[in-house]
Amino acid sequence: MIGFKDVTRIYDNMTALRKVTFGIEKGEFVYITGPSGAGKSTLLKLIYLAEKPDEGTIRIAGWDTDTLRESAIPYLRRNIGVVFQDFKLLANRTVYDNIALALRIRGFGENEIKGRVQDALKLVGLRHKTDNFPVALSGGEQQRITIARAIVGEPTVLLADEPTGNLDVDNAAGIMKIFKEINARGTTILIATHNRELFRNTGLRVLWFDSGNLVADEEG
Amino acid sequence: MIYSIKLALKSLWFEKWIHMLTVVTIGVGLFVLGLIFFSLYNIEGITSRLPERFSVMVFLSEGTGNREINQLKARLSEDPIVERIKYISKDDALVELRTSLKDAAYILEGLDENPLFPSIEIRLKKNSFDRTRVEGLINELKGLRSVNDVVYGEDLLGTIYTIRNGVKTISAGVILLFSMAIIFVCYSTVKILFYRRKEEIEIFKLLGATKAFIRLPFLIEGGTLGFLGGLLGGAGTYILYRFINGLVISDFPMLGVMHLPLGLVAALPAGGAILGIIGSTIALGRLRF
Ligand SMILES: Nc1ncnc2c1ncn2[C@@H]1O[C@H](COP(=O)(O)OP(=O)(O)O)[C@@H](O)[C@H]1O
Ligand SMILES: [Mg+2]
Repeated sequence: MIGFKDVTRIYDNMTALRKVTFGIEKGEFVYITGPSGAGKSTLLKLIYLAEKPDEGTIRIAGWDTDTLRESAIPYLRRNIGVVFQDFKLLANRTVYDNIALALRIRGFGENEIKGRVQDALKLVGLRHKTDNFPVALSGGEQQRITIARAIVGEPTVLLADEPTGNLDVDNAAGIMKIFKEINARGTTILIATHNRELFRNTGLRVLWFDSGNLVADEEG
Repeated sequence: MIYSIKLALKSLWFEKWIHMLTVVTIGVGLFVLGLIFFSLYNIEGITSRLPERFSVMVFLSEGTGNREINQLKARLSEDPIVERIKYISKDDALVELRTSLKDAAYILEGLDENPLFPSIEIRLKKNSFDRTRVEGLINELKGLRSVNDVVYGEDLLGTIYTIRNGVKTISAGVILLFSMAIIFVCYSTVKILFYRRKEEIEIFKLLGATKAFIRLPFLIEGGTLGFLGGLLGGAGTYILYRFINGLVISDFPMLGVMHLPLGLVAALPAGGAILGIIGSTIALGRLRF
């Protein structure tokens, strides 16, 4: 599903990732962890093609970064749902329109969009917030709207960058429950977090990073 | 597609003040273009009818026989630039002169003999004006023994055509300049909108939007601005045309022959839309993912 081979990413003179190699199978639930600055966010950005590797090759869903044409990028991104660390919700649109956007981009009709957005909102437990604007929502609620937008297009991979970063324990547990449900439907999930509590005793696979190096790959 | 139109309409409404300004600016530009095309059309119309109005008078020599006259008539009828010919005998010419003199016709009373020459009046084909060919024909005629003289308003026509070509060249320059100005106005408007929506566009890209999906609303927006400007300019041109016709027609009947082709009025919005789309395309530049 996802394969990194000797991937290096250098910002100016800062090496964010150094010769990283690993593979993730379809349907896996994987944590990416390590201290701040370890390269977790960079790794996710490489997967959703916001960054390009300086060296090495990344394979995603049958495509690879050596031969990928720029015009194919949008279609590849539709296979990848992203829960951004800063949410990236549009402040001038309602919850409904924010989630629907992911489907409008894919050219869906409004009728189909309506049903799918309602389903996604139900999954994250926010059906009653359909017509609110993002500013009127709490951090946890915004996080869940971002998740709804990421999964509404039924991507094969879901990436989340510090999804519990600013949330209290209850909210964080709620979010993790949603991810488990999504994973149970067959979606591959990668979560980048510096919070070890999230994966302690879960028995899930954890990739440990430090200063851009993959230092441990603990199979669950 | 429908969603792109919605986005464009929403933005058009949301930014209506900046848009109003743009539309008016484009409208003025297209109004000027409309006037230029209108003038060119009429200059073209009037001048292309000139060869038809100016006829070539071929005065025949005294004592030219019927056989020679018939030969000459046949030769002229075959010429590709000749519309038709009219033979005017000495007697016809005198009758014509009498008629044109009207009350003063008595001055002809004292003549015992018709002093006029028979002649052939040649009407040239409309739009067939080609100086070298007309001059060639005239020189050929002048060389004939049976022809006494050839009279043609060539100098006047030549001058008119020189002026016409000058006007055309200047107009082409002005048209180019104004088209570029309109493109620039659309360019800067769309550029502003693009920067205002930069964050939104980044999110569109991350969610998997194609370049076409991102561009389309801006192109629709730019095209609509140009189209509305064209409607304004077209309306302006039409109103001015009606105004001129109403005001001036009685004082200067010569101007009554002016026409405003409906195609021109319709071409302004279409042209505006095209210029708007060109400006927007330049403003968007090369999108990168
Ligand atoms: N756009 C950037 N420009 C320059 N340096 C960057 C950029 N993004 C990240 N870095 C650097 O790369 C390293 C890894 O960053 P990041 O992947 O965000 O780490 P993490 O998410 O694990 O905290 C950090 O040292 C960071 O300062
Ligand atoms: Mg990070």
